[in-house]
Amino acid sequence: MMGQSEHIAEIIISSLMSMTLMLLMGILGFPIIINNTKYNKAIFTMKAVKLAFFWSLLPAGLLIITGTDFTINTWEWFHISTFTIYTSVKIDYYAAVFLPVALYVTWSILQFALWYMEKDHNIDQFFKYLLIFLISMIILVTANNLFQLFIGWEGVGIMSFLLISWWFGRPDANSAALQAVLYNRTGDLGLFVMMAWTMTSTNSWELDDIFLHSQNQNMTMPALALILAAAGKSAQFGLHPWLPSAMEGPTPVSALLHSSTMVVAGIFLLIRFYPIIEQSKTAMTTCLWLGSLTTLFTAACALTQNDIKKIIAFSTSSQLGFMMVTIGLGQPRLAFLHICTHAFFKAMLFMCSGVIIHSLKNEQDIRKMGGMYFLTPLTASCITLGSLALTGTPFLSGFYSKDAIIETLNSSHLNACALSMTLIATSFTAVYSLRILYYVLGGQPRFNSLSPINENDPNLNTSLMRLAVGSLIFGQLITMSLPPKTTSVLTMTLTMKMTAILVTLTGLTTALLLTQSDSLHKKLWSHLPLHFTTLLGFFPLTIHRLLPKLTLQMGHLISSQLIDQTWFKLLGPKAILKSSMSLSKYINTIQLGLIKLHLMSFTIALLTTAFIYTIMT
Amino acid sequence: MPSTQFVFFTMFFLSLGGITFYRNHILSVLLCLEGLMLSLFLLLAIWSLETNTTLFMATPMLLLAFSACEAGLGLALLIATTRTHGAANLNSLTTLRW
Amino acid sequence: MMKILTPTLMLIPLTWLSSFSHLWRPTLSYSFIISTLSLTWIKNMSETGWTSLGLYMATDTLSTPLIILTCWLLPLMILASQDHMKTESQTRQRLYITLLIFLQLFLISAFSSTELIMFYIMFEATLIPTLMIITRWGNQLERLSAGTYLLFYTLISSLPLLVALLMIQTNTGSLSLTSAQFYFSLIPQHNFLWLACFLAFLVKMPLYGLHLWLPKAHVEAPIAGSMILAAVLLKLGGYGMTRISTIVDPISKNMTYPFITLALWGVIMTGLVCLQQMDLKSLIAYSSVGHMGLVVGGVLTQTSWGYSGALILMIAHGLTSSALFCLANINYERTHSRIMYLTRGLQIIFPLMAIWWLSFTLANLALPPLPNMMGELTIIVCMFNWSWWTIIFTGLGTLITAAYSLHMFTTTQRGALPPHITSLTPMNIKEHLLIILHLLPLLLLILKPEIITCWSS
Repeated sequence: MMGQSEHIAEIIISSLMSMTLMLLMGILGFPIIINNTKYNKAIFTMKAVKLAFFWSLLPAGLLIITGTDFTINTWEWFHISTFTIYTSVKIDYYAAVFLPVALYVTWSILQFALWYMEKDHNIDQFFKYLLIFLISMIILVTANNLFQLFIGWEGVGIMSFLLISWWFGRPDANSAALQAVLYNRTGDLGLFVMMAWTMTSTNSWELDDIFLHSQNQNMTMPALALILAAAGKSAQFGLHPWLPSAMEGPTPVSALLHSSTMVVAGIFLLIRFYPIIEQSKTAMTTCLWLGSLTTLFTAACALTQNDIKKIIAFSTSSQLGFMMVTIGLGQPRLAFLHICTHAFFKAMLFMCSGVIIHSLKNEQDIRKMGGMYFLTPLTASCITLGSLALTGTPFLSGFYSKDAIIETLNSSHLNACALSMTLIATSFTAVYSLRILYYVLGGQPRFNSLSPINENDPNLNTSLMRLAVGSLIFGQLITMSLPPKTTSVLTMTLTMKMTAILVTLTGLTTALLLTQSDSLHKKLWSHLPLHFTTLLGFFPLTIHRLLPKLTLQMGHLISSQLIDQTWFKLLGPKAILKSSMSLSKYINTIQLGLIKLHLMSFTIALLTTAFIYTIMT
Repeated sequence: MPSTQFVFFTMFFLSLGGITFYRNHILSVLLCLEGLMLSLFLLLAIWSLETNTTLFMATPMLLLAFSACEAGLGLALLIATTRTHGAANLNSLTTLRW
Repeated sequence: MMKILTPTLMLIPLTWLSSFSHLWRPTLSYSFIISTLSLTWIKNMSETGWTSLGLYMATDTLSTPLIILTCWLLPLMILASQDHMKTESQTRQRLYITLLIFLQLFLISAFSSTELIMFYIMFEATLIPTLMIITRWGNQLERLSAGTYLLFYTLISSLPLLVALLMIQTNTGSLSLTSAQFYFSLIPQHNFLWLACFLAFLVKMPLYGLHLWLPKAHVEAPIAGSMILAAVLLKLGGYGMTRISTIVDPISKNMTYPFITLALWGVIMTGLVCLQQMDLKSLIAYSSVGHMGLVVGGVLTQTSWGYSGALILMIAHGLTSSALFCLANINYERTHSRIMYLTRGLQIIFPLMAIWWLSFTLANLALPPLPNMMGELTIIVCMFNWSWWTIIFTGLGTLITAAYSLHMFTTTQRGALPPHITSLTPMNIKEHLLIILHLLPLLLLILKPEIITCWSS
C-alpha cells in the first residue's frame, strides 16, 4: 500500500527523531561532566539548553507537518522471572509539543538565572541541579513505561528538594524542602498502587499494553490511585501546602519547577493515562470536584497574601486545579494546551517578581513595594502582559486554552456546583492579579529610597522578552497548527460564550471598586473571611501541627518506649531473666545443704512412688 | 487398698513426714523416729503372723533391739548437743552443712 | 570454591607473620584481589541450577551475589578499621584482622554450602567472631549486654532448627540442597516443624517482634562489626529462609500469615521509632529492621517475584546500610558522639561528604533507578498480589522511610553550624575511598540488575 519513497521517508523520520532524542540527552548530559572555570559552566549550560530547544523543534515540526508520532523500545533492562522491563520512549503529540515548550522556558529561565544568581558562589552547582531536573522531567514526559515514568517522577521530586533548600542555612528552607518531599511521597502511594495493579492484571508496565488490556475491566482503583499521585505532585487540595512553602527556593527554581514543569507532572500523568480514567465515572467526578475545590480554595487564599511569590504560587495552584477540572470534563487536550500556555506566562510572572525582589534588596512584601511602573518599565510591561494572559484576555495565549475550557464547562451536563466554583475562581484570578499590579506597579513607592533598581542586564532583558513573545503568540500558534481531537460545542448563547470575559470583568471591577473605597477605615463585621484566607484556610495550622505531633508521639511514646523498651523487653529477655532467676532461686533453696531438704526430697519421692505403685496395681 | 496396708502406709509416712518437716527441737525428731521404727516393727510382726512363720522370723525382735539402741543413741546426742550448743535446736547444727 | 577459600585462609598467616609496618596495606590489597576473584562466579545467569560444584560446596544465582558482597566487604572493613585501631597494641590489631578473616571464611562457607547441617554449623559459627568483636572492641559499657542479647537471641532460636534438621535427616535420609526436590515430599508436615525451621532465620533477619538484639548490637559494635552485621549477617537469615522454604513447602501457606503481618507492621513501627531517634547509629539500625521486614514479607510469600525482590533488596540494603554506618563512624571519629544534634550543619565545612550523605540517604529512601527501589517495588507488587491491603502498609512505610531518611540528612548536613564545633580534622582520601567503594557497585548494578535477580531465565 505504501510506496517505496514513503517507506524511506518513514525510516528517515524515525531515525531523525531518535537522533534528536539522543542528541538531547547528550547535550544536556555533557555539561555535568566537563570542568570549566566558574560561571563559564553556567553559560555553557544555558547554551546547551538553547541548542536542545532548537533540536526539539524537529520532532514537533515533523508532528505538525506529517502527523507522525513514534515509540522507541530499545534496551531490555532487566527481567524478573518472566517479566521484562525495557527502556522505551514515546514521542507522541503530548511529548512532542511539551518538549519544545519546556526547553524554551528553561532556556529563558537559565538566562535569567545567569543574572539573578550572579553573586552566588555556587552558581555552577545551581545550574547543574537545574539541568539534572530538566533531564528527569524529559524522562518523565517521554516515558512509555511506568518504571521509567517513576524514575522521572522521583527524580523531579528529589531535585525539587535539593533546589528548594538551596540556601540550606535557613531552617525555613529546610523544612519547606522536607514538606515538599513528604507531600510528594504521599502521592507516590497512588503510583505504587497503579504499578502493582497493572502488574497483577495486565502483566506489563508499557503504556500501550495497559491501554490494550484495560478495555473491559473495572478501572476505578487504578484511576483513583492515579488521581492521588497527581494530587500529591500537582498540589491539589489536601496535599497542597507544600507549593506555597516551596517559595523558599530561589526565584529561578520557583519559575522552573513550581510553575511550569514539575507541578504539571501530575496533570501530565493524568493526561497520559486518560484512557484509563475516562472509563471510571467515579474517577471523572473526583477529578472535577477535587479540581474545582482546589481552584476556588487556593484562589481565595491568594486574595489576601502579602508575599508576592506566594500570590503567584497560589495562582499556580489555582491553575492546576483548573487543569484538573478540565480533565474531569473529559478534555485532556485542552488541559495539555493550558499546561503549555500557562508555562509561559507563569514563568514570566515569576521572573518579573524576581527582578523586583532583587531590585528592592530582597524585599518580598507587596505592602512595601509600589511605583515600579516608572522605575522598571520593562518588568512592569511584562507583569501586566503576564497577568492579562493569566486572566484570559482575548487573543493572548492564555485565552485559547482558558476560554475553550470555560466554554466546555458551560456547555457540559455535569455538576453545576463544581462549575460555578470554577467560575468564581476565575473571577478571583482577576482580583489577585489586579492586587499584584496595584500594589507593585501602582501608587507611590513605599520602599527605601536607595534601592538598587536595575534592569539593564542583557541576560535579563532578552529572557523576559522571549517569554513575553511566547505568552503573546504561542496560543495562536498551537491552535492554528494542531487541530483538536474532539469537536467542541459550536453553538451557544451569547452569554454563555462570553462567560469567561464577563466573569473576569466582574472580578476586575469589584477589585477596582475595592481599591477606591476607604476600606481601611471601615470595621469589618466579621474577621472570619479575612482570617480564613490569610491563614490559608487554617489548613497548615491544624494539619502541620496535628499530624507531626501525633506521628512523633506515636513514635516516641508507643513505638519506642511502650513497645520496644517495655513490652518486647518484658516478653523477651526480661521474661527469660525473671523466670530463670526465680527458678534458680527456688532451686537454690534446695541446694543449701540442709539435711531437712534432702529428707524432704527423699520423702516426697518415696511417697509418690508408693502412691503410684498402689494405684497401678 | 486393704485396711492393714493403709494403716501401716499412713503410719510410716506420717512419721517420715514428721522427721522431714521437723520443728526445732531434736526430741520431736527422735519421737518420730521411734514411730517410724514402730511402724516397721508392726509391719514385720503382722507379716510373720499372717504367714504363720512366727517361729522362723526373728526380724521384728531384731528391729526392736536395734531401734532401742538407736533411741538411746539419739538421746545421747540430745544430751551432747544441749551440753555444747546450749539448746537442742536443729538449726544450730551447722556442721552438717557443706 | 577453593580458589577463594584457600587465599582467605592464607590471609591469617599473613596477618600474624608479616612485620608490623606491612600489616594493614598488604591485607587490604590481598583481600581486594580475593574479592575480584570472586567476581568470576557471575557466569551464565540464565541457568537456575548449581555451578562450581564441589563435594559440599556450590554456588547458584541466589548465593553468588551474597558471596560477592561478603568478599567485597572484607577490604572495606579493613579500610574502615585502620584509623581507630591505631592506638591498640600490635597483637590486638593482628587479632582484630584475624577475627574479620574468620568471619569471612565462615560466611563464604555458609553461603556456598550444599548440606543444610554445614550451613547450620557455619551459621552458628559466625556468631563467635562477631561476639568477640562487639564485646572486646566496642566503645561503651553497654557492649556487654549487647553481646549477651545477640548471643542468646540467636542461640535460643536456632536450637529448634537443629532439632528440625535432625528430624528431616531421620525421615528422609539426606539433607543436601541439591537434591531437595526429590525428598521434600517425605517430610512430615507439621506446624511446629515449620516454626522450628523458620524461627532461627526470623530472629536473624530480624522480624519485628524479635528484633531487640539488633539496635544494641549495631550501636555498640565498632565500625567493622557494624558493617558486617548490617551488610551480611542479616542476609544469612534471608538466605536461609529462601533455602528452607523450598523444603517445607505445602504447609507454609497458612503458617506465614502472622509473620507477614508482623513484618509489615514492623516496617511502620520501626520507621516511627527512627523519626524520633537522637542516636545516629540507632537510627540506621532501626532502618535496617524496617527494610528487612520488607524482605521477610517478600520471602514468605514464596513467589518468584518475592524471592527476586528479596535478593535485590538484600544486596542493595547491604551496601547502603554499610555505607551509612561508615558515614556515621566518620562523624563519630571526629566528635566521639553519636547524637545527631551535636554534629549538625556539616555541609558547610565538608561539602564532598555531604554529597555522599545525600547519595546514601537517597538510596535509603529508595530512589529509582537504584537497586533499592527495584527491590522495594518488586516486593510491594508481590505483596499486593498476595493481598491488596498490604499496599497501605508498604506505601505508608515508604512515606515514613522518606521522612526519617531526609530528617537524618537535614539534621546532620543542613542548617547552621553549631557554635561548639570549632575545629574538626578534614576528611582524608581513605574515607572518601571507602564511601566510593560502597557507591560504585550500587550505581553499576543499575546497569545490569540481572546479577541480583535470582532465577532469571
